[in-house]
Amino acid sequence: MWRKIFNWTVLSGTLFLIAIIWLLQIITTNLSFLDVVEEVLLDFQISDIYYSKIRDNAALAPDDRIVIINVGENFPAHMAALATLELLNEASPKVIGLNLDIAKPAPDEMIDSLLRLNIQKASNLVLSTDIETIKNTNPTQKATALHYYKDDAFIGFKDLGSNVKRNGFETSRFFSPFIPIEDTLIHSFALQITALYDREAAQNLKKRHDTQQQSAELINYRGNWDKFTVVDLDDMFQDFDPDLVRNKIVLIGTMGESFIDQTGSDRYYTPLNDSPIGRNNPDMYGIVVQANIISMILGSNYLIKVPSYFSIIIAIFFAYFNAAIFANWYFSSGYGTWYDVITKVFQLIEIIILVFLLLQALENFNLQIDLTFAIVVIALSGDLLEMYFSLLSNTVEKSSKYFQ
Amino acid sequence: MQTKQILLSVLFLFLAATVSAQDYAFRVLASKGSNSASEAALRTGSKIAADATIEVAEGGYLGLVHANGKTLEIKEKGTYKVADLQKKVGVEDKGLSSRYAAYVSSEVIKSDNEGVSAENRHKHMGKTGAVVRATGENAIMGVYEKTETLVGEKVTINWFLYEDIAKVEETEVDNYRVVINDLFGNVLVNKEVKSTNYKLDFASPEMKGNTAVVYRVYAVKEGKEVFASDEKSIKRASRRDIEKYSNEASELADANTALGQIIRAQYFEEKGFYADAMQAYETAIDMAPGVEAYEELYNNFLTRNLMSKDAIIEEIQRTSSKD
Repeated sequence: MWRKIFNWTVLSGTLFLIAIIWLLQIITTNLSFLDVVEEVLLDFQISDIYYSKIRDNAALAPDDRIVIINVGENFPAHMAALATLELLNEASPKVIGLNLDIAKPAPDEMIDSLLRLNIQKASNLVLSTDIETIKNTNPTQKATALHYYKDDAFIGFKDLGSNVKRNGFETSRFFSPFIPIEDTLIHSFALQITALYDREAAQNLKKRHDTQQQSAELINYRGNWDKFTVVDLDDMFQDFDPDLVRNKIVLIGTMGESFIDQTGSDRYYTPLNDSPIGRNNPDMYGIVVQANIISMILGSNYLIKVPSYFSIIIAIFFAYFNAAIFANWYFSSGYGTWYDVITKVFQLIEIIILVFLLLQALENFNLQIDLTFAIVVIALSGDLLEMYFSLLSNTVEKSSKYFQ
Repeated sequence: MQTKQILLSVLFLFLAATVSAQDYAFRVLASKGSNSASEAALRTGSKIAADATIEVAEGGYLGLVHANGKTLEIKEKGTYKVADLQKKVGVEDKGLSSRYAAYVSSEVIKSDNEGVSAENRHKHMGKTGAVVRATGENAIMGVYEKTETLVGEKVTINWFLYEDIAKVEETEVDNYRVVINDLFGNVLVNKEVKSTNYKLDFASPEMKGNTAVVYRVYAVKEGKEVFASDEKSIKRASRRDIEKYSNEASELADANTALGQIIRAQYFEEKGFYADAMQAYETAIDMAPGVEAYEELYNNFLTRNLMSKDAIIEEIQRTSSKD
């Protein structure tokens, strides 16, 4: 029996299968008209289906520690920041994260002065910037080149990362907790806010990374804005209960004219998008993405990315496994024309089971495994191995001897 | 005796904690509109008792979290008993196996309309990640972009039948059904029209105060819907932009004259508000129907912005031959 599994026919079939898939990958990379296919395959992950279609999102509890204020689109950024801070400074939130474009001075001097006053009055205020601005800021220049209000508040960068650039269609999957610049560690917006709210949780995140270089942390999304307390600034003016924000993390950003408006700007694609492949509209506002990151850090609810070599090992395992089974079926006189049907059904069942195991690992252990290569191997194994076995049986006389 | 007192105190504290933990059934995570529970206004953070009745206003929204942590959204106007809502969130968690099986079976038995076929290849162009052009192929082609922003209150939704894709002549189509939904999928308009346009007024009662809508057009032949357009949206600009651009347009030209409308049309086109520009041209032509120059200006506008049937088809054919 072992001879039917471990033999040169099966081994060479495995090598053939892997070689062809590798060649196909090279070809798709080099042919520019297939760039879009390559981009989509690189951007998509099987786990996206879990987040958008399978996870019981309604059962996930909202994070009560975070309140999001939507300033809408009717006020210029500096005025919106001033109006919101004036309200919040009377209400004792624990941390405020302001994600508005106020890195340059306000055009009106009076607004500028009042805003600076309120920024100074706010305790634990974090202002957002971006990595490009940080990296382009000459340390010998005035600190205000980084952010006009840098001396009065904390600063954090809000950039998000994806597997591939797709001109704005890419899925935001990870963020960098910090970047080291000279002797300073610049925190991300989310990490800086968390550090002010729960120092230990922030330290737990830092321990996961080498502080000597910029690294990436996968975002374990809790959900869209329905998983946080959200309020429009317009509504706050009419009726504001300070208890709503007391001792909470308050994030200030834009979510369309009203938070139920799905067509505002500053929206991103996330794994929660209804269309995991191809594109619907972007599904999440930037400030909500930041809320998700903060919630993840506070709960230390991280995803564990399984190293890519493990994915390759699984793919090779399935290549050999399928080669062994299909070789036995092919060279067995009992299957004949049923070979195609049986292998297709077998491949389908394999993929369904493999994806189920992947989802189990994700749901129960937060393990993020990239099984794309393995699934491609399984999907192509039936036809490619049939081709190879046919070639082999016509050229090498004794290729079928192991299966008699 | 001392032991008994301690035990009684502990029991009392336990009961107090239990009662306090159950003093509400739902808490409001997000609220929009004049919503209330047992006639008390609801706002973000409000707690709703188990015996309350919730009223959701027209166009309103309520995001609730149950005491057990499960969330629930209410997007439709109506009266809801909290006791009924509690039953909804009390449904037992389905395990991963059940959810996965449900997903796999739903994908396997998907209807033919969503399967791969030559007629649906345009949908799969989108699924492969190709950037959606405004002139993406479909049997029914709308002339606007996927999302159109409007300064004014009125817009005319235009479309045409792309005979090469539909494989039928325009004369074979009996009617067109226009379906306009709000952002939550509630139907605002569901009408059949003979022409290839529909006039929408955001100020009309049928819009129910919505400032953004999603629309789709279906071709009806022998009582059946045979083709559908892509889903597109139209939204009002922000209040600040509406005020700014409306004022500038008014300062530029008098809206009560045909020439004034032409100037406004060109202003809106320059600012990127193509639906408003189209509306202004149509108003100008209505005001001065005999003036050929205005019609020519209008046609040129439609052609250069790929908003006429001929221009769109030409662009599709041009880009297809390039591929």
